[in-house]
Amino acid sequence: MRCGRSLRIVTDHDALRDQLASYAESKLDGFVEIDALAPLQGGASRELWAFDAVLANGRLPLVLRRDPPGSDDPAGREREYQVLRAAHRAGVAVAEPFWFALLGGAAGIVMRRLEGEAIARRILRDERYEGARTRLVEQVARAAATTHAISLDELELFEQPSGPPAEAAIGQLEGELDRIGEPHPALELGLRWLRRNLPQPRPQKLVHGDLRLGNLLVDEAGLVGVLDWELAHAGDPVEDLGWLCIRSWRFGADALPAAGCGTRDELLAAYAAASGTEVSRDELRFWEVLGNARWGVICMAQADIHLSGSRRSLEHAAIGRRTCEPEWDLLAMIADPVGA
Amino acid sequence: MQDRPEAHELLEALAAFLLADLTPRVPSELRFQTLVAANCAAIAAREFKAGDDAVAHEALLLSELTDPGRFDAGRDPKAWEIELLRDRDELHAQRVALASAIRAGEFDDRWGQAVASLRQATAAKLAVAHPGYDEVSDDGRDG
Repeated sequence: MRCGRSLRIVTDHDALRDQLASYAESKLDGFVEIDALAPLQGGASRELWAFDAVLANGRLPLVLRRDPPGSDDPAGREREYQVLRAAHRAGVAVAEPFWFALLGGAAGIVMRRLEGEAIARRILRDERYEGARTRLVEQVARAAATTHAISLDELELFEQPSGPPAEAAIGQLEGELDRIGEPHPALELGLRWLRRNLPQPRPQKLVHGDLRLGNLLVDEAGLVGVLDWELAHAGDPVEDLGWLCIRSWRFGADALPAAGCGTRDELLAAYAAASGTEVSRDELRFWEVLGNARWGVICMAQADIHLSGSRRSLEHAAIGRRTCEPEWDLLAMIADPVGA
Repeated sequence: MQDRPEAHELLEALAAFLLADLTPRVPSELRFQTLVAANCAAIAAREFKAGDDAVAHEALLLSELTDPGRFDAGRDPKAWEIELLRDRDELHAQRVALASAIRAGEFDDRWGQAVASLRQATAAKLAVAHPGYDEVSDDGRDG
């Protein structure tokens, strides 16, 4: 088995290098060759490859983010590419996107390779990131504010939003619970609380959709880039702030809700300074409870991928048993039935 | 009844092997999955060790919400637990009924009781899935 697997990787590797070379040849002046192509770890849902484009006058460090074989979603990758371009143009800290490419039949995005640390526990614990930790909340708030200021009209592949995003999100989670068919009274109680505590709808914005520690590339100076834009959508901007705060993304730094580095008040103050938009603690609470409900449903859905036999995977199976973590967290937040 | 080691003892041994012996020796791209495997074995070990008592305890907690009249205060809770355990299908049906009653708003006026019982039931799940997680309880009001 090991032998077969290695062989497949070698074949993929050589074929991919040839495909990347023919792509780069047509796109880059003075292109010489593709060098140092190697798979990277880190993308749970997408393949990641690092490589250099060697040019006549230097090297361009690049990364390819590609759909894995069998779960190809070219429309999704193209939308992600468009969002990345808009974010880069707007000045959000992101990897500069170069091409949307079809490589070996799978859709992918080629972007500049940024150097930094993405492993949350290292960012939160290593001494070298001590200074970064003091700046991260402000930097992430600014990245969120800049993202939320991007005009949705720029993104022609986006579905036009219809109806208040909060109610749509609750309905979507209820639908997902019904589809999976495993009863979860605690998640239902969270969703019921959300229905009884709907916030005033805000104008819809471009929302990152997965803004959290784990999707932030960080170096000693702080935020280098916001990663993984595949869940970007039109929605309520506070969704990003609530998701950032849920306990699962604090990676053990439980007393500091904002990405394990700061308080909720610090996050809201930084967001207000960067965006001019005041967000109340009640509103943040709503989206944090929704974030917990969503994470619980995602855990169930991941396990269901394994249990339904569509993709057998230990990792997917194991995550089902994490559902009770966000259940515990949301129950702690909804003791008062109405009002925060 | 099987001979020893019991199921939880076998799984504890498996978890220890995966964690202490195998993880340091596997190639780096498999290390994370080996840790996940060790954690899975540890979860299953704790579940076997907790045994039917934990399932019965959850059933009793939920039946206080779905069927409050059924619980006879004069009777030993243990006897109820044994009765509840006899029918696992009923246990599942009970969860289904509770979930849909909550969604329909039937617990809006018994909110505090629903939160309290579900917190206990969730703490029992965490004791198997992630011991210690319930030592932190963040009501979202600080910081």
